[in-house]
Amino acid sequence: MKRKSFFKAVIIYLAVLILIFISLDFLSTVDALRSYFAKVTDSEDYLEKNGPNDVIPHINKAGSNSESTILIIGDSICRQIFNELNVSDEKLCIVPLNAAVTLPGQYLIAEEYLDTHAGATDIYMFMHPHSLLHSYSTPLEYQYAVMPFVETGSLTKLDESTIDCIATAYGSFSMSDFFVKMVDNSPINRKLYLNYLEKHGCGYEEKRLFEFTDTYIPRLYNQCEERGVTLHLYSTPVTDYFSEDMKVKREAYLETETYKLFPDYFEDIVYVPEEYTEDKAHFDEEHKDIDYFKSLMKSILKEDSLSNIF
Amino acid sequence: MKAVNLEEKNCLIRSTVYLIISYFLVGVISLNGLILLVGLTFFSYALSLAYERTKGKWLIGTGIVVVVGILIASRFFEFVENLGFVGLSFFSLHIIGYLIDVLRGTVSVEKNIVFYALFVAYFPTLLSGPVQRSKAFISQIHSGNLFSYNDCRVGLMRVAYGLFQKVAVADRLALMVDFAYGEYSVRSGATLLWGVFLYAFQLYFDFAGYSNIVIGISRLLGLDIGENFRQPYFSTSVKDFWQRWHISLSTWLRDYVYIPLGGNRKGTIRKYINLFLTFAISGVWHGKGLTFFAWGCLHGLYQVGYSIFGKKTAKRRISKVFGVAITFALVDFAWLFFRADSLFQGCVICKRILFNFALTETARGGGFLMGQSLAWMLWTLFPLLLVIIVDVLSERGISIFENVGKCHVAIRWMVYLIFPIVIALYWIQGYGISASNFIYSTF
Repeated sequence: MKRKSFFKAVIIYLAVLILIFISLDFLSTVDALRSYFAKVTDSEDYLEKNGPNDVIPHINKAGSNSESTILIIGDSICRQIFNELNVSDEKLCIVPLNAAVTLPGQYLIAEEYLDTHAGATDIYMFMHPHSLLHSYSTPLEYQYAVMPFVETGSLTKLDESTIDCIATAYGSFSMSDFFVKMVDNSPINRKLYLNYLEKHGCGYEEKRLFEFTDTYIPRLYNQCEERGVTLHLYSTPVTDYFSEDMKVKREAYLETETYKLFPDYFEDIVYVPEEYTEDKAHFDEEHKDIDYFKSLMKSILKEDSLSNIF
Repeated sequence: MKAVNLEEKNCLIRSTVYLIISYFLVGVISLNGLILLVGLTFFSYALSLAYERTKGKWLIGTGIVVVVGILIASRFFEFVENLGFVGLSFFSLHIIGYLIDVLRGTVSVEKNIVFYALFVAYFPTLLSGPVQRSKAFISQIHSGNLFSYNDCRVGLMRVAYGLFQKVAVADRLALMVDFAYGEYSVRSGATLLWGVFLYAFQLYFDFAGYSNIVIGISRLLGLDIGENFRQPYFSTSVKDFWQRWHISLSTWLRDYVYIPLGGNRKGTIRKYINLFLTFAISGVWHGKGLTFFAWGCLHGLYQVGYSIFGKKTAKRRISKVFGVAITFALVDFAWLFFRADSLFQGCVICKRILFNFALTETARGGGFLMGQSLAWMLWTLFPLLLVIIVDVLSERGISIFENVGKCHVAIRWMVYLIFPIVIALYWIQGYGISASNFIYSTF
């Protein structure tokens, strides 16, 4: 075989091979076949659509027409507390998630609520100080703070600078609907992409503390004000393990716009013993107690009208 | 005349392109490495030209001393090691071998700096060999190579097979070996022995896989860089082992260390010393740390032992299977130290194998699964059996690469298409860390 013919054969071969790989990749997104592909590629741990599966129902709940007038959002500690309290009040729309959703994500959920609830009166945000510092720094945030909002079409409502941060962290292609669907629906793609991000240390680190908090809390505050809604920001309980760290964080908080709106955020922190938690943040089984959580919420809310429901 | 000039011009262009690629790849990994590589290339080139004019042996000696000195410094001084001299272990052998060949007169001094530089820095072999010989390599660069469809076809197949050996076999075995060695002080002796046994195959398929990739790429480029492995675990003696394992290095050591030391020409005792020294040097060359030195010394002792007892046992017609088993046991014992982080770790592993074997407990407790599931082990068994079968066939003189080429085109294309898919499948299986890192614990 001559050189030209050989190279022609190689090109055809590569084209066929690429076509096969692309076809297999598409097939791995098909519901009926996902589990089989996951099994042969040892990607079964990636079958669950972590991120969108958790966040999208909350986005939809916040955006659905309901009689509620009060929105409650927050991090996973907030979620733990409210799950245990099991509050049932049609005035309340309770959709706390986790810190990986990031402040921009929480902002989008709040905005969704404001757009669909003309009669809204209050938005309560319960966020641990560490949750206010979450950035697009790990693959976790890609799943919780980017993918769900791309799928629901709301990511574009974020600032240009935030979009640039996401592009820096995960690549601008990571925000395309097609790419997100391919990652979300295929356990293979999810495994490859998330581990690629992890291996190459992809992520965006905040240039200053509370960078995203200081963009989106004031923005949300202004939007709430325009609509006659009151925004409340409280800290979830913090373990005494972090009491010294809170002093440091407070110093940085004093330099922010958010401080001007919520000057008592750090002062009002309720500290709990480290022994009550299993990871210095979330409560252990022994202390997941309704009465205890009620008393905690009353301590956090103080004179706020929301404390009446506890 | 014109045709010859055109051919020479084509050789020069081709070599220049390969050289630029080599330097680029080295520069991307380490700028210091590139500077040293280029520096030593020009240095040794100048020395060889000067020797050709003056016949001053001291010139060759200086070159060897400088290269060996840098190599030793990189092993024993951390600040030199931290400079990141990529490929030093291999290109230093190229330079030393060339200088000695020039001194011996077995190769003429290469006047063309591009050809010489390419011999020193040829990119596929720079990181892990095979070690090249100046005469064989440079003569190929000088001659224009005609396109060979078979070379290209076999080359591509070898690259694919090498990837398969690495991804589907070696990388998976590495996880099991890490399980044993990682917590060696608490693992049972049976688990550790199993880990040591598996390491022999991990190392072989990793190294042989890499060699296949390099040899395959070279065949695509029209270069024959020689074989590096010949089914080493079929060796019937330790002497046979080193004629099958890392062939390019063992022959290099024979020609440039053992023979200059005197070989077997200075009497029996001197022969034993030379054998021992050659392998001790090999140990040091492989890496810093006493474990590599111990490994080299062990092999030195094996060679001496074989020299003393080997011929006597050969007369007894020991069965081939017995010879293979004994050789493997000796080689694997040495690998135990090669893999260990320290001599202490190696000794603890030996002790636990001897005094904490716990076979029954290990079998009952799933210790032989090495932290993996049964399904995972079965997925590993398939490619392992495949590569062993290929080795068995090769030992019988049957080349799988040549035979695939003789099959019907439909079967050939099926193999060409299925193989990369299988490689991709194993690569995806082994890619990444635990999925729990990407799951936010919800409450």
